[in-house]
Amino acid sequence: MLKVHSLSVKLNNKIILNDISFNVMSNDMFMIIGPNGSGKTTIVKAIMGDVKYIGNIELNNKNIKKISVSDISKQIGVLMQNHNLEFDNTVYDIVSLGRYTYIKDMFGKLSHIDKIMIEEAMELTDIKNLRNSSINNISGGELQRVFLAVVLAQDPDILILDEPTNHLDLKHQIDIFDILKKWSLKDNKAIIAIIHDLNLVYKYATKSLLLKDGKIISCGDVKDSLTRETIKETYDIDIFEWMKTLLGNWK
Amino acid sequence: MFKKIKLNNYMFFSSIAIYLIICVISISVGSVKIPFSDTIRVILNKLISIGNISDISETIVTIIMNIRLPRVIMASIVGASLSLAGAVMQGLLKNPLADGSSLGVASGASIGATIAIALGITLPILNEFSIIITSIIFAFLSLFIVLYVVKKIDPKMSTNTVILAGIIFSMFASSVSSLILAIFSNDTKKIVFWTLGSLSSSNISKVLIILPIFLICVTYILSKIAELNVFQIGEDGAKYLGVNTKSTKIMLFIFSSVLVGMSVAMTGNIGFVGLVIPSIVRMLVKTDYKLILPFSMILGASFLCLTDLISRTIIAPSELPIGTVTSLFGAVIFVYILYNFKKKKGV
Repeated sequence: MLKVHSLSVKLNNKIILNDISFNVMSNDMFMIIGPNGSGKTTIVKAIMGDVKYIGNIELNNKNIKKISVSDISKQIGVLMQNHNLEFDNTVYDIVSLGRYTYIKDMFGKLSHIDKIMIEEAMELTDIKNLRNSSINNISGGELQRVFLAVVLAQDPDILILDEPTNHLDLKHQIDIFDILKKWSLKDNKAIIAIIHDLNLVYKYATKSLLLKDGKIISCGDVKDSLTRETIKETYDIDIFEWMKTLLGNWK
Repeated sequence: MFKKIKLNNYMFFSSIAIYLIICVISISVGSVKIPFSDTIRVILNKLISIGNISDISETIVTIIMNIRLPRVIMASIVGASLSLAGAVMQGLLKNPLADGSSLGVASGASIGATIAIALGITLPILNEFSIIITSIIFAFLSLFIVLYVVKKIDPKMSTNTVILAGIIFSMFASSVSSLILAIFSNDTKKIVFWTLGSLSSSNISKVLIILPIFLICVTYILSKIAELNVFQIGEDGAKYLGVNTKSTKIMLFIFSSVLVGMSVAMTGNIGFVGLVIPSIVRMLVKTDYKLILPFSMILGASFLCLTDLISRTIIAPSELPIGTVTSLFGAVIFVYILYNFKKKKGV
């Protein structure tokens, strides 16, 4: 579905990404990990055309630079990292913004299909009971689910998430990943996610990409690419010893 | 904040009815008092040839048709324009304190107008339009400068930085306008006109000049309702949802600058309307531009007709600059919004 070939990004004469290549296929849960500043978010920005890059990115066998903003939005959805809403609106109205790219009506009137997609997205994220609540009156975890519902209502083929579980407690993190796993198994869907929690990656990812200083340390099936050695190389931490110490605390 | 009421067609039409009542009162009240029924009869007769007005004196008809009706229409267009532009700027910048005056657009437009008047610049062919055109150009230029500087200082374009830059620019622009007027004309009354605004020079030909510009801008802005709604989740978010953010933003900024620029050219700098009216509308309805834009226009038109009525009757036979009245209301509401905004953010 998405092919990234020899992607390099330079910003202010500093190399941010160096010769990155990977493929994302249908039903993949493709997770990108790496230390802060390793260039994870820049990969997302390159895919979405927000930074200049060298290399080639193909979406369904078509150069992504030649696809219009509107057509990209029908194929790729992005869950943003920060949400700040200055104004007041209901959960339902926010979720319905996800349908923008499909709406033909000048005043934004929702079609039957739009309404079904919105209901499905709210069902999947379990926010149906909040539909008439003001987004200013719900919790952080609920707000994150609302924004997830927006991109699910957008019905993309590929969903890109930049640290989707930031600021969420353990229970909510697991909730979000269960939702994503369920969604990724539908026909012709895939997820690309930037994640910090290695345990979550190990449990949910099908493929992983380890990034350090803009270079790939390892990439492939999660069992092969996410190992004690590659993590040591990426983070300079022996994950096994560290986890053992942690686990010892819970005896 | 109090609970939002659900607005429907019924309320929409009643707000139009209230607006029309304000118009009739505005036209009837003044140094010459005209009975409401006569006002309605004259207008209906002159505009759509209904009824017979042979019993009403020619003077009254002239007062209504040549003096007061143009003034009310001018007040309505300017009120609706400033409110609409304010609502759009607030939406694009996700900033509840943005409007033509707080961003410095109106003061910038005054520079354009004063240059055109003081230096006697007249563009070939477009003679009648020269003040409007220089105002619009300066309005857009000011908006561009303010936003460009803010982007350099604070790439996140936080509410406070934008407003601070706008207000500083506004003060600077007002000084420049005053300076130009002080040097090139000895008429201090004119300076007051440009800094506080007045509708007293309204006439039919001015109305006919700005009406088409107004209608074009309104049509374009109303066609971007869906985009404005998506903008509420941020510029990046809007782009990822399929909005062509760059062109939409630039076009909407251009059209709202045109609205502010042309209003300033016609009536001087009337402050706070674009800030206060959309904010009141936002307190009443949720953030749906399908409701916010039309209600802002109707409320803005009603507000300016009403404040104009107050400004010309309260110390009659003299006239208070209308900007004094709008700013009086505006400043209080500005503080109220700021207070609520800060409280919500927990700052």
